[in-house]
Amino acid sequence: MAKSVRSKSKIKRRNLMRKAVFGPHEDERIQRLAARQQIDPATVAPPTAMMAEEEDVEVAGSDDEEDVDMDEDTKAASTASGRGISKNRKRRQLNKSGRIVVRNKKGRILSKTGVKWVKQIRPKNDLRQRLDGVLVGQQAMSIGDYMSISSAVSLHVQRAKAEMAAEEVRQWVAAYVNGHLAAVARRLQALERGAPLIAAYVAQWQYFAQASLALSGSLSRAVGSGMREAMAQAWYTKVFRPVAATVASAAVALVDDARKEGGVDDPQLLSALHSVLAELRPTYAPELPRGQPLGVYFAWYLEPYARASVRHIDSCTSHLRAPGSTREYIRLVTRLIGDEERRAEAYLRAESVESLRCVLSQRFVAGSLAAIHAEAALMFSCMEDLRSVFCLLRRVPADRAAMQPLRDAFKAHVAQHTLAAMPSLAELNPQGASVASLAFARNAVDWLLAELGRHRAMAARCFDSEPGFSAALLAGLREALNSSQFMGPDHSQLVQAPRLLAGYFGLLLQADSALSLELAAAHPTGFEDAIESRARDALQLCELVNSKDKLMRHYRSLLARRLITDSSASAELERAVVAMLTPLTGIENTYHVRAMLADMSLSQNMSKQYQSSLSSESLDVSVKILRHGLWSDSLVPESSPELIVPRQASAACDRLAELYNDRHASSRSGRKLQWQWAYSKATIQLYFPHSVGRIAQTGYTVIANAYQLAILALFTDASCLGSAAQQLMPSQISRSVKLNLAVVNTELSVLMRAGILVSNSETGAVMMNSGFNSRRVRIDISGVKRMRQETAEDKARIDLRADSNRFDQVRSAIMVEMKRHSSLHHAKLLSLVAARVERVFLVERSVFKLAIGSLTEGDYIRRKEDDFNIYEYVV
Amino acid sequence: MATQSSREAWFSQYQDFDRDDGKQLIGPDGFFRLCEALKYSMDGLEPLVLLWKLGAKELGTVELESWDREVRAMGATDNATLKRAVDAAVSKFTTDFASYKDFYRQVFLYLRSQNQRIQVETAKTALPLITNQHWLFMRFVKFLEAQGPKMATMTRDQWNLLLDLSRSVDAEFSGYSKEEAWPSLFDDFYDWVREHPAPKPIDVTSSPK
Repeated sequence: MAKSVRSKSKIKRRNLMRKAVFGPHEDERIQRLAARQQIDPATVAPPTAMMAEEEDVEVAGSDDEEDVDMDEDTKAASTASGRGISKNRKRRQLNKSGRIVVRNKKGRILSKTGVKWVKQIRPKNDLRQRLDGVLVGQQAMSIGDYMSISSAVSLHVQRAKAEMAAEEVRQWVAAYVNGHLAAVARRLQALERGAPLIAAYVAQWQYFAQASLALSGSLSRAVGSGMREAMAQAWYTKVFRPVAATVASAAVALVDDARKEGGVDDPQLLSALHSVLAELRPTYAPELPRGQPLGVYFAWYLEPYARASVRHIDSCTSHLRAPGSTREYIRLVTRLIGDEERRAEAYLRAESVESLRCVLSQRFVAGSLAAIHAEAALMFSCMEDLRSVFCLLRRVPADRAAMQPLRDAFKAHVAQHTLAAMPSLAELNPQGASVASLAFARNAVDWLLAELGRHRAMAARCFDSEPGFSAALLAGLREALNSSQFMGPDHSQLVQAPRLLAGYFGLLLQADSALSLELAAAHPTGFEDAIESRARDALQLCELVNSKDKLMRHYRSLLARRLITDSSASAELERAVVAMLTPLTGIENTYHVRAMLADMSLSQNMSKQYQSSLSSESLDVSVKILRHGLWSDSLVPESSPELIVPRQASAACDRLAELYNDRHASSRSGRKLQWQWAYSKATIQLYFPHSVGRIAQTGYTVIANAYQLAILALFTDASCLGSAAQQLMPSQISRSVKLNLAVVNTELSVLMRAGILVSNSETGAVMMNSGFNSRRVRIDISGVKRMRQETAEDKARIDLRADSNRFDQVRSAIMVEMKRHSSLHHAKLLSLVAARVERVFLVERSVFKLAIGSLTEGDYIRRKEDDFNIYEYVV
Repeated sequence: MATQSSREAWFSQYQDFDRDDGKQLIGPDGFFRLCEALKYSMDGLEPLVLLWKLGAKELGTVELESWDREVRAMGATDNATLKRAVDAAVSKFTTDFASYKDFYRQVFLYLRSQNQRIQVETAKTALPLITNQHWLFMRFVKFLEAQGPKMATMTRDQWNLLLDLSRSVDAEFSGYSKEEAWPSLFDDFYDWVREHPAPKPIDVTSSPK
């Protein structure tokens, strides 16, 4: 049978081995460690003694939940006792030393017989001493040392895990690491600044990172997770914070040196700095405090870096701070800041680059804004410089005040350039056509669209088409279009933008205009698409016109002319263009033109209906229904409403009236047809008895208006006067057809000029020219197409009606707002009313005040008794 | 203190008995006689003040009811006491703006024509009279004269605000702003004043009357 390990022979052998075999090695190791730590080996207890003590020492304690206190004479209650001592012997020993009385805090006796023996626990300081023994003297500067520490600690902790609480192990390791890292920091700070310091810092961090990884892995069983984070936190506190500033300044100094030499493209230097700077903020470092946007980096690294950058740019631009050198300053600063930003992207973290950008912008752009803005206003001739300014101002972050003056300058430039460069009326109208004909509108609109395109290109090239500049461009063009100086001061009253644009649409949609014919020739298949495309381009300008109500009134006037004279390019195109204009001007402003187009549709239906009911003897008649009130602006006042028309025409008129009344009979609208003879014409075939030649046999086709037709009927139709007249005096004609004598004379002169009628020079009577001869088979003398040109009075009348309509609209808008709010301040009411109508026109203060005066007079609103600026709605 | 019967007897001295509608009132003729009895010139301010004090609703017409009420309120018992009350009201205008404002606004109602507006010709006569030839009103009258026939009438709003304007601006019109709610007529007046500056204001500090 084998001997017990507690047998004397076994114990004796173990002691012998410790002393003779292991002892020398242990002593030697202690000596080595002490030498490294430079402490006296005598102060370190030999492991053999520690181990021997471990064998014999037992600790007495109590597991009683009550906090037990012992009597003073028995405070050191633990006793040394051999393992072989029997219970009786122990009891005797106790009796010899006297009875042990155990009391609680209040002095109550808990036991008189003796202490309660509990499970033995090895002393805590035993493990600490052992670990200290392992680690003492360690001043690791290499990865190998870190690893050996890690291994040793791991080994001992594994052995002691049952004896030492996890938290205690963690605390101990942290305390140890803290002490070690403080020494590392001291050593780093003592190093020479510059490259050596940077290299040492990087190397230390790498060692420590690997060691902490290994240590946390080996201790994870003993102390659980979180060891690595705790060690990293220790690194941050003990090394990073005291050393980082020094490292940063060393890095900045290196960058600065490189900058002075003209470049920083050394890849090795870049790489080294990258490594250092990337570690300046380890991921485990505490979050940046709130309210400190630049954070610790600005304080530790970015600040000195930024100072160096500012110093550099300052030194380069100091000679350009004089007032006359702003342009050179802008160019140079733009280039230098760009260089610094590219450099910073190599040296700084992304967020730090942004911070540096802010610093440089504040220093070199925001600080010189007034001078830059003043210079920018003079730079519109040089796009490159303008772009420099834009790029420079764009660097000032989130500051509208920085960019807005440039936008304002761009707006002013567009307005001034447009007004100054706008060709004169003579240049726009080389054919010498009258202003009233609006023939120059095409060239003017083409030029304006080209100007818009030029400025757009400028905005794209200089300002990256930034929305603010696009808006400024349109605002500038709007200012020019609505200026009283538009088209020059001499012609401003004759040609304003609303009339000009309406005229352009007129040229576009008139079938026989030069523009329309040109488009038809250029686009034989896609003619309508070409017209629509041109109209869409012109709409860009329409949008900029403030007085869209006037635009639509002029448009309406010209549309009426096109429709009455059958000169519109196409009804479909007319509808398409009106549909484009409707969202721009509001549905209420296109009501009239839409109604006019509806009249034309009705007219076509009426004509078709008449055609279907046509008998063989009836005339082929085409009519236009013009609703009263829609067209009256464009029509010549009827001079002879009671004109006696020829029999055949009269029958056709009666039939058409019948059809019209049937159509509207159910609606009881009280509609009544009134014939507009001034706009009526007929195609007739005339034969002259003494006419010679080929055409005389077939007769001449004459297109005559209603008045001419009535006059000719007196000479040709026996039914008019009982018999066809040979000669008639003008006064007789006037009485016979109930036509105004002046109109009769006008039409007689046309007929005589055409040679159809001749005058008796003695009596003044007129008669048919029986020997009429002409080379033309078809003769148009109706003159309906030759409508009266729009005069200045017509234009003034249109403007006057638009003004009157504006007054009504403003009045209505005031009432709506007053009903909603019941009480409003003058300025507030004006802004609300302006917002209501701004799509169509701008409210003039005088019109607004007149509307207010009208409403106060009508007792719809009143002024507040103690404040005349406040209006109150009168219910 | 006069009794009601004595006040009615006093009223009957000037009452128009020829009316067909049976209303008891003093007509223009009676009011003329009353002014003569009080020794007031019809071209002066006092007849207008008398009308206002007697609560008249129309020019030259005083109803018995308002006569009775206002005479009693004034403590007038005869023509002499009535004259004293009217004179006191006139002298009070310089210190009591609210009272003057009430009188000024009432004058518009006396002078307005059928279309509820006051004719410019009437305004040109009345304004110097009731404002003691205040510099602003005199300038305004000149402005109206300069407008010619295109400016024929004034609205009640314009009339009322003219008094407020006189207290808001100085001789240079420096307190005036077109951005405020002044009628557009006053904007034109402002432009006219800027184009035709007065050599010296008569009195820039005193309030009307």
